[in-house]
Amino acid sequence: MRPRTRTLVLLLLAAALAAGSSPATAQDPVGRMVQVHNEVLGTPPGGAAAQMAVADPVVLNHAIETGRASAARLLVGEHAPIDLGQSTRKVITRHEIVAATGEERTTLQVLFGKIQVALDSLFSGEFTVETPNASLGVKGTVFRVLVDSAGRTVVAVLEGIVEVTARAGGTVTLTAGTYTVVGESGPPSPPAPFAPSLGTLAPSAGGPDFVVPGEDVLDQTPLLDDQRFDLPRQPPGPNDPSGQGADLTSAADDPNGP
Amino acid sequence: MRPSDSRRPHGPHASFRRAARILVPAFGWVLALLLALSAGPALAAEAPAGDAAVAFARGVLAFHDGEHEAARGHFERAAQLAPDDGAVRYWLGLTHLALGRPDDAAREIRRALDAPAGAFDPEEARQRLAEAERRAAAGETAAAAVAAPVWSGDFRVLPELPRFDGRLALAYGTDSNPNLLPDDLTLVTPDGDLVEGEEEDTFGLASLRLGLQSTDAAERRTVGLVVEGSQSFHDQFGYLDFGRAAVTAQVAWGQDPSGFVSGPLGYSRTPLGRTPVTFLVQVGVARDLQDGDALADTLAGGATLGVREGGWGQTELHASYRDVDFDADDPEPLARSGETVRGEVVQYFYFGRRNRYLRLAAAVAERDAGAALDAESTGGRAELSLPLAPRWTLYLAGSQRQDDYQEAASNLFTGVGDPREDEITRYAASLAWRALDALVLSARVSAIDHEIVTDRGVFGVPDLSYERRLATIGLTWFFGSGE
Repeated sequence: MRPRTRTLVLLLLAAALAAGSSPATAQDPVGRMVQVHNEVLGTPPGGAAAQMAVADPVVLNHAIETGRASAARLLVGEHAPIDLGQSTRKVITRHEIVAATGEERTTLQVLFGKIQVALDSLFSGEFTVETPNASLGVKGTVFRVLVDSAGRTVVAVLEGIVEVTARAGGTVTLTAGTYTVVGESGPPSPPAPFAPSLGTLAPSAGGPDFVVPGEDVLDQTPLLDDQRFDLPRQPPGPNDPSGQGADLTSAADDPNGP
Repeated sequence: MRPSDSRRPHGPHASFRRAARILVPAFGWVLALLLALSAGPALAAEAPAGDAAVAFARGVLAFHDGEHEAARGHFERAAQLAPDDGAVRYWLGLTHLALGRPDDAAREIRRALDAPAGAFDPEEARQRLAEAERRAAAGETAAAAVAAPVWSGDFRVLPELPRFDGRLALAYGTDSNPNLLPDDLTLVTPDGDLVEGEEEDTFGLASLRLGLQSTDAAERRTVGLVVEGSQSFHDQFGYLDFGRAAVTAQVAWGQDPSGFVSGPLGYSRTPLGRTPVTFLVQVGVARDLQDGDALADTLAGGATLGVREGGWGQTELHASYRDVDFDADDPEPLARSGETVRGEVVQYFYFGRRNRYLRLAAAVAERDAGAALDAESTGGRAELSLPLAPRWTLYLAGSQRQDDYQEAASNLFTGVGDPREDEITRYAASLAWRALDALVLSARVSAIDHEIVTDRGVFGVPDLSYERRLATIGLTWFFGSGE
């Protein structure tokens, strides 16, 4: 049987927070499937794997797997659409709603593959993403996460702000248009723009602003070439025995030598 | 004697230059204005993309539940928030079809097919459009059963390296001393006019870079071909209009977080990412022109090795070779044609971000040309990149180079005595504003101090040292890169 790469989503029940929060129970839906492409298997807690369909509820501890060339989109709570790309394993470890404020608290764990999360402007609360080697605190709206086969985590922010903390230590803050890579060990890489164009304007990259016309080919004034022997006589110096000054010809041209 | 109007050159080249001096900056500002006007809505306050995504998701669920009026409301809201998303328009069109509004359906599906982006099957959309048009023509306004569209759902976390990208840069400004003259030296121009020391001129500069690249993901190797051209246009001193055309072939191994690697012959695009080491090999040819006439041909090669030290720094080694052949060269010892070999060590220090850095470099070079021009060079460079705001970056650069000539013939006037020594100091600053995703406006100032130390003997030969100040404003348009 050909091995399959799968996207796995597990929604796990976490301990309840302080009074006022209402964590979802194992059977309470925390979201719904919005779109499904090809193979998307859902395994509810204690149940058997079955193909997911649009509008199917997603509960805590619900394992959702997407196969190769497959994808899924689900809406978690009221404000968090999450896209799963092909070959992705994802885990939601917490989903709670604070009754007094309506805040949603969700923790998502990405084991393998890629996701995109787009929180709307009405989202208030806490949204955390965990990968095998990093933890993301989300303060913004649209971002993407990839955990590749080498165990690296790539986080790219399209809108908003995301703080990425490596399990080995170190935190970076990503703003819109930047990304970071977290290796299996070590801190996150410095945020880098994923649009290289502005960086190519730097002097070291040959930026047009640092071009000086003719600089590459001119050693000195180009007017001198034909006029080296025609320059006006200079006043005689104190050591000129003739007292008449001198033609500014090269001494090498003087058959009598210097 | 003051420069006269007879300085203005004649002939077809001259006419082209005069036209270009007007058209190049004019084109640049018209282009900037057009792009700004066309992107006006984009520059307005934008709703978060998440709002559109949530509205779209709710619309899909309502459509599935048969609540088509509710779905229409959600999709219309999503379309307001993301007007360029074709998928939203497509779903809205299908919703109108389900509600028995084939005219509205056809309109929205056409918009979807014209949209710049959208995750849907265009062939399927064309079939649905035909159905909507048929229903509209037949006057069928009853609700209809409409199947949801096919959705592939794939996306990339980071942009893919484009196969083609380009850059057009236009600048206009002043040059305090394009003739590179000391202030007390008067020489005659090719047109017969006198130039008295430092005389300022205005100029335009246009440059175009076209890049083709292909990446082998498994080998982490990027092969590229770059074609570049540039041309300067001076208002008064047309004989100083320099042009360059160059072709460079390059191979890069590895990935760089910035998406490119800088080498001796320019930069090479790489996939976004991070590998401990990057390596770049370049080979190129170039032709330089002066006032439309061939000046020199260059054959060049270069190699760059980059090693990343965690997130704080990067070390690079550069090596390059240039063989320059001047078209109308002087005889020995003044022959300018020759070879230059150069080596450079570079150290980057990053301060919290990849594009906020200090770059320090030290270089040595040896030039082998005519005896008067044989020289050994040593020098250092410093470069600072400071993002001031999300779309503003300040670049500061400074360098100093010392050229130690080898032969007494380097003293052009006397030909005797100690060989010539040059010290060249440069400073430059550029403030870049990314006005649109593909358009950057910038302002630049540069200062060059070139001190020429020669044995002037007892005859009072002129000191050829000069200063030069440049100030330009410009725009750079990136295309093909999908940014």
